[in-house]
Amino acid sequence: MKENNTIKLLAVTNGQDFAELYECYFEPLCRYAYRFFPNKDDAYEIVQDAMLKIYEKRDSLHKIDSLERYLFRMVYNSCINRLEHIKVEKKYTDYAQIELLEIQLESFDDTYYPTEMEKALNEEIDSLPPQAKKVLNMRFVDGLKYSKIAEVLGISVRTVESHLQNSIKKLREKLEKRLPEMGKNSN
Amino acid sequence: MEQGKEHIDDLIARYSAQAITPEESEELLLWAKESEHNKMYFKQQVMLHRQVASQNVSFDSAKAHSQFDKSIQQTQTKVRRFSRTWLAAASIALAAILGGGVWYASQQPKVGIQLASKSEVSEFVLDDSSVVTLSRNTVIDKPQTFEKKAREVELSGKAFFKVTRDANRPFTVKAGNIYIKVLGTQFEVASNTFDSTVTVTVASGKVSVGYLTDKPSILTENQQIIITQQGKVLSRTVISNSNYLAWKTHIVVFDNTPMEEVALQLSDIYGKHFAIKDAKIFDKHFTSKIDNQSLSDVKFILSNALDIALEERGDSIIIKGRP
Repeated sequence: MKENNTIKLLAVTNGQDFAELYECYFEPLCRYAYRFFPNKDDAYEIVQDAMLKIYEKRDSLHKIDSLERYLFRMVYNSCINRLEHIKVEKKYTDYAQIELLEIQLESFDDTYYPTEMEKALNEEIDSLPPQAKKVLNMRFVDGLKYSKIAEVLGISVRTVESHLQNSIKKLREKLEKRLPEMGKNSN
Repeated sequence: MEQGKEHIDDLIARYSAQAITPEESEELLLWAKESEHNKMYFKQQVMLHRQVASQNVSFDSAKAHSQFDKSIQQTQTKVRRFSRTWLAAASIALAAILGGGVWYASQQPKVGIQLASKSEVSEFVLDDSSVVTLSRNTVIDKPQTFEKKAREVELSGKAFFKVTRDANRPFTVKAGNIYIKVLGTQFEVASNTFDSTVTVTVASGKVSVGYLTDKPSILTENQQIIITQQGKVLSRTVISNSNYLAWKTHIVVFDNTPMEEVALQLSDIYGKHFAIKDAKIFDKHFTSKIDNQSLSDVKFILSNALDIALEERGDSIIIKGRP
């Protein structure tokens, strides 16, 4: 993806087309926003806000050296805005949660882009036992309900549930181990 | 200690899933604030939890993109009228643009959209699929989307309208105090700020022109009216050619036309100021048909036909007699 940056940058600075930007980055950007606001609609809105800001600033885009970094940075800024908004809104409730969110957003961390995380995640999913992988894909890729997965695979809903729980736990652990490695790779 | 870590992991998992009580989040917060290391650990773990959890969520990028397209059409972005990069801005406009037009939304929210051209003729498709061609330095203001019962735009400058027929939604062009009202037709409106007149020329169909909503004049094909901003009709004629549209069509027929008139028409077509600098030239007349010829061709034709010299100086073409 990195070698195409120049082309994408050009397309963006010429203001021609955000289609490619959306195609390549919209999902990863949403997953990034989801780290801070784990709600589908919130994440979606945050990224849309950022995209509009990018559109407004398109004339100065040529000053950016990394498009990817810039995009995540803009979404990060958009997250900060949302945080400030929440702070005003919910001043006296959930203060600890808000402070935790503040810690999460303390600084812009460009070490673990969701694009890389996703790649790592896919690799780890591939290494799961076949049945666990099947369940995971049916749930996450096909979006099937637990009961439907159970029906298709001829197993109980309980088994589906525990498959998923185990897989997710395993994936988190494996990703955690890969973190320093990814840190080195980026930039 | 080990138990403590498990407890923290549990809190982090709950926080990540947004299934945490205020007391628990307070506990987690106190722990996180104990050290930079704790903060790091908290951040990483939440990221991992949510990265994995987000796999469960799908984000429709195609839908998002089409929404984005809609909102850049409508959202109030900064007015960039005099931006040097207006050319780049032009290409992004959703409307179809021929030349170097600039699309920008108005500064105040909900005021609407502004279509504008600078030194190029620009064509826009409106949301009712009417097509409007803006001559140079022309501005049109319109609502983000037309209302249910009326289509209204405000014009400053010169534009050609090809209005899509909609009997339930009359289309009104407001040129200052002069309202031009149609249902579906083609016509040109030129508002002149110098002498505060408005000229309306009808290419096809029926057009109503009047001072505000007072008793309007009805014009039909090939009729032209010149009306002042106070509503006084200065002239009403039937035109014999389409030269008035030369700025758009690049076609103009000169039939023993005085040079002064020729210069004006050519300025309109080529976006350069044809300036006559020799009094003798005002007496000359020109006969020819210009049909999408290049500027240099036209210069060649003119200089040979009339034995004059045309000199290009920046944005001007100086017309002089040959020494």
